[in-house]
Amino acid sequence: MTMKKIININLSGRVIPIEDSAYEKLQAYIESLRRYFINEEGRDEIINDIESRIAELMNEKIRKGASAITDDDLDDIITSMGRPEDFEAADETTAPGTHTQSTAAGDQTYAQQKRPRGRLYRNSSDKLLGGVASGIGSYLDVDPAIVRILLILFGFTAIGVVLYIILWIVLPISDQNNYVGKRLFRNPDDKIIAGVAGGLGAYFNIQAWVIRILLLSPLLLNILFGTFNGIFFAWHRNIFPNVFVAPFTFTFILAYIILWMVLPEARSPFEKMEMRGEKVDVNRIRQNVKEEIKSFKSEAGAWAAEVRTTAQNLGEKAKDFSNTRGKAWATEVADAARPAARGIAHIIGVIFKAFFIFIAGCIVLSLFALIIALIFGGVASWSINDFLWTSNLQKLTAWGTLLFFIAVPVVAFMTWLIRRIVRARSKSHHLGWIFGGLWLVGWICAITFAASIAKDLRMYDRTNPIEVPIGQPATGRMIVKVTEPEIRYTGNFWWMHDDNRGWDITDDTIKYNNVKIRYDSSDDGLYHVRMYKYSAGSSLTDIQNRSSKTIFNTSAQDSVLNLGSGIIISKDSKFRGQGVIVEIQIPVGKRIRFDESVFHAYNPWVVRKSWRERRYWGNRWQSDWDYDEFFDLKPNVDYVMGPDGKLINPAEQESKEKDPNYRYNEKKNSQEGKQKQNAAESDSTQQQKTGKTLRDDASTAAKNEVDVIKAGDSAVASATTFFSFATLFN
Amino acid sequence: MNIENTQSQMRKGILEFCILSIIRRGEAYPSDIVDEMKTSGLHILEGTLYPLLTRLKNAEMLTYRWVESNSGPPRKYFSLTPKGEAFYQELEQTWQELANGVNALTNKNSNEPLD
Repeated sequence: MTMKKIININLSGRVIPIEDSAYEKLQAYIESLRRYFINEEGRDEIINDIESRIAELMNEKIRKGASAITDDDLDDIITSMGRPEDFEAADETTAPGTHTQSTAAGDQTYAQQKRPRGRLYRNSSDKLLGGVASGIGSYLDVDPAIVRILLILFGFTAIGVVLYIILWIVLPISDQNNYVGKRLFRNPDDKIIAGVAGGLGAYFNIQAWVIRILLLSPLLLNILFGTFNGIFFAWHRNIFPNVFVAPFTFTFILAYIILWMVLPEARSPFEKMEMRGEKVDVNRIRQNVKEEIKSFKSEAGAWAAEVRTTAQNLGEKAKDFSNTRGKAWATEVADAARPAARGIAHIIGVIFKAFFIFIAGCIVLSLFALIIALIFGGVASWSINDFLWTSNLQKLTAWGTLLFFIAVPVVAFMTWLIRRIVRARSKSHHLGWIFGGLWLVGWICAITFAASIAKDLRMYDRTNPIEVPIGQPATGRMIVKVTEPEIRYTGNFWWMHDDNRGWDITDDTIKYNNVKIRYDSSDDGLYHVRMYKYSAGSSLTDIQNRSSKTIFNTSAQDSVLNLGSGIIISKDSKFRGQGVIVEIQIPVGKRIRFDESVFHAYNPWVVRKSWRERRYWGNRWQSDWDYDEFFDLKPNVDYVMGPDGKLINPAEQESKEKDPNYRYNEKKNSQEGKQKQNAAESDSTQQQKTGKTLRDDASTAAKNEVDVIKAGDSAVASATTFFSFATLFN
Repeated sequence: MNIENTQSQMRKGILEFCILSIIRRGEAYPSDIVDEMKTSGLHILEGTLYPLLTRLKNAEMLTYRWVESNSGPPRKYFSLTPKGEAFYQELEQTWQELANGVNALTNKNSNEPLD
């Protein structure tokens, strides 16, 4: 006789030793009873009573001398209680859709019994919102989960929602679960995130990993294509069809989330069989239960010992109570609570979880990309390092931050993900502690690093002005040019492409074109050119030191002021946002012209008027960099310095006055009456021949114009553009 | 025609009545009821009995109380409610009519052929 394993079970409050094969039989029997009584009101009570009776019978046997309940014992018990197919107690008048009897014994599955179609009800025992979809499924003999999916796909419209609500109100509720057959579940035994892919695999009889690859493929393709596009073409050309793949990514992710919300998890062995569509009968249930038992057998041993001691300690009476009387009451509560747990709470839970995963995924992806970029940049260009870090401390903490603060979470997440997929069980929590510790180190590095850099950037200011020696232009007109070639990248990185203009990094110098030009009227009737060098630093002395090392070439010849194409910073002055402002003072009534090379070398908005007062805001002198008045300067045009320090374009002023559509003209009309307008118009037609006189008139008229412009705003830009066209047609 | 089906239908019809009559005599618990039925020659499975009892209890024909037991878990002892008593009376009347009618028919059957 083979030794069978004996386990202790708790049945209705009594601890009973039973052989494991007999226990399987018991499980199967009880499960079959549950299914049989599925439509009974008070089903749980009935099951409890039956379990109680079984426990009593078993107890009898034990008292009569058996050491454990055997298979044979269980057969006796089942015979005495009766098998479900033999029951005659079916009542056909309680609820609609009750089952008629099956007469053949043995393998007959009551899953195939005919259910008379009653009325359409809402299902109270399987409702997500109102049980409408479940009721429909019951009525039409369709898996309720499929009804829900179809509802969302086709009915998620205003009309659909209204219809659902109407049905919710109108249909009566009833506990019915008429659909038997293959159901779509989420599979808890095969889940990485939520078991959606596992459940789909079980339903369609495909391996789950196939489904996972299918689901993830658009996302992976997206990432892949994006990376390739970036590496090979610097995102200029989308050779890889990223734009076609992206909608699929989104749809698949959305579909996954919806399935997560709608599909229930298959918990009991019976549900798992439903998931696979296996025929439901007692033998099958037994099989599945067997597999369940295998998985917790090892735990059962320890649990059994625990049960024994607890039973002896707490006293059997107490346990009896909780398990019999208490149970009757508890089942009613459980019945009420169960639908809610499935319903809204679940949906909200899913939304939160999905959101969290999405955010986490985005963060990880971006961190990953960042790391790759930094590694690429960092490893391949130690030279840049020397430009950036003023001290060894900074250098150290910079790398520390990179490694620990950024890399560690990414590596940790990757590890977790891979372990999930491979289904590796972690025996210890050491890994978590190690990662946590490293990340803490990363935080310290990051904070130190940030503090150090912040100290370095605390102030941003300029040096004392450096006078640029120039000769006064004889013609009364200064020309500003840049003859140095535009700065272009000449370094070693093959992956930096043509977009990089205006700056250059080599092993020991950085060049870039952070140059601004400011103009103002001169106080002494002479042209002056001054240069201010700016830099960030921790103190004024620091700034002075640093900016004095900035090199900016200027030269003057006759009436031409030649500016360098950019500033040059050497290695030891470190990159700290250095820049240069060239201030040009122009005597009133004299002219200046900016060659187009200026705008090419720097940027189209480089030239602005300089404010007389300087305003200190924050940590810098605001006026010099940010607060300047907008003035759209054109290349190759002779501007005249006006008395208030503003440059005037004579040709423009004339056209402005003539154009009736120019809004500032209208304003002027309302302010000063039409007379001046008429006078100017009649005068201008005569004076078109004498250019000089026109100019004089224009400049006074322009002064008014300028007043009005002052009251206006950046709409000037569009206005000037507009009648630039007008001048074309004039 | 399936004879088992018919037989079972016949039995089904009188089950509630039998059970109520047993309980009417005194407080009884399910195992007792099964034994009584057996001694009277009517066999019923416990699995048939329990749902019936629960249904009757939900319909307020029966009520029960828990009784502690040394040799097992506490047991439910069922007794008849006034409503159940009234129900029983009606059923008894129906049964009398049925029994008389059926007996009359079957006696005639064995005695006189129908001409």
